[in-house]
Amino acid sequence: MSCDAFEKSLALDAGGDLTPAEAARLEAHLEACAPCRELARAIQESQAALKVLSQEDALEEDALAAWRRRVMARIEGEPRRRVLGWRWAWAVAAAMALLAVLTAPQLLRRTPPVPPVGQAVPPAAGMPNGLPQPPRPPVPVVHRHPRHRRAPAPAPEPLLVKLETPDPNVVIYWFVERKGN
Amino acid sequence: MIDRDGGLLREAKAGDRAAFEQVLLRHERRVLVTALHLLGRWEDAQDAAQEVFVRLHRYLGRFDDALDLAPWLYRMTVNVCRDIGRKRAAHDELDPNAADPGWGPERSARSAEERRILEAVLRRLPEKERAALVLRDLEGLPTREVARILGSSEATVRSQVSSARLRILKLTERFRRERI
Repeated sequence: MSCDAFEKSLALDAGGDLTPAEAARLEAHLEACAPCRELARAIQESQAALKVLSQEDALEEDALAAWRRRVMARIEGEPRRRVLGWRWAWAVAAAMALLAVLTAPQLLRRTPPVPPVGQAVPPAAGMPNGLPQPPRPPVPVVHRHPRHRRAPAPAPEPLLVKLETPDPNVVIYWFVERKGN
Repeated sequence: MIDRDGGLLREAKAGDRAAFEQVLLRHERRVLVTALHLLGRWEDAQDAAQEVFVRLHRYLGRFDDALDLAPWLYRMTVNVCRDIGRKRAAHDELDPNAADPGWGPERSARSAEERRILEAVLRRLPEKERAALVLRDLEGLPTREVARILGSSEATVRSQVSSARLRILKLTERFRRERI
């Protein structure tokens, strides 16, 4: 085996992460290889220096207390949420998705049609008390030059719903596509 | 961070704020220090640790009192730090000469230069390698536990840790050469 193949073993050995068999193989190589012995020494020193960081957790008590007060203040401001079980969370998400699928087309269809510019307005029904409807002002006819026509509106961004779960590794993102007018 | 928190968690779940504060007191240092090692900046570490405990409070009802809280806290710390680190990475570099108001005078007096180099080197490790190294070498967790927290295999953690140790050696040597 080349020295490169032992680099990884040397790094693992520095943290005591080799199995006895791996350690024995490395030991045998080190006896015959001066450059690897030098690398082993350098890694051990680097690891020792790194360990100093882990021992220095002498955080200032004032800074810590101020931080703690901020955390507790934020928590005080948060309402306690009733946490649903997994099955309930999935059921709620599925129900919301189904509701969105069922209601979205109806909501889109409900938009009243706009009469074309210049078209006559249909006669209105009489007032509830039997009096005739007051005369409406005439609808102005506007001639638009084709060049001034507005460009079509860009497609709306999809709506993103983020559902956090109690498992920090699982976040449900729900994209709801919105149709244009 | 190994003690069981069952009783305190039960009381905190029942709405006892003092019990939650006790949980906070018990774990705050480890969460803050882990966040500091992952992010390299005291302000960011405070933000991350605060977010971890707010989420803990939010999801208290989910916890089994019999389980150890520490793995969850470590996992959440890694996740929150990853998010904060990605936001910060776009606009700044670690200033090796920056003062760190969160640390006591004892720390400031000890080989400050060497520590700044190590902190800067840690920041330059790839995200996953840094998380594996901080948990294994700085927090001293066993490889199996690190794998469980990071949601990966022991073989992956071993590979990440060995790669990170070699990178630290090479980067530290380079930093020293450049500073001479």
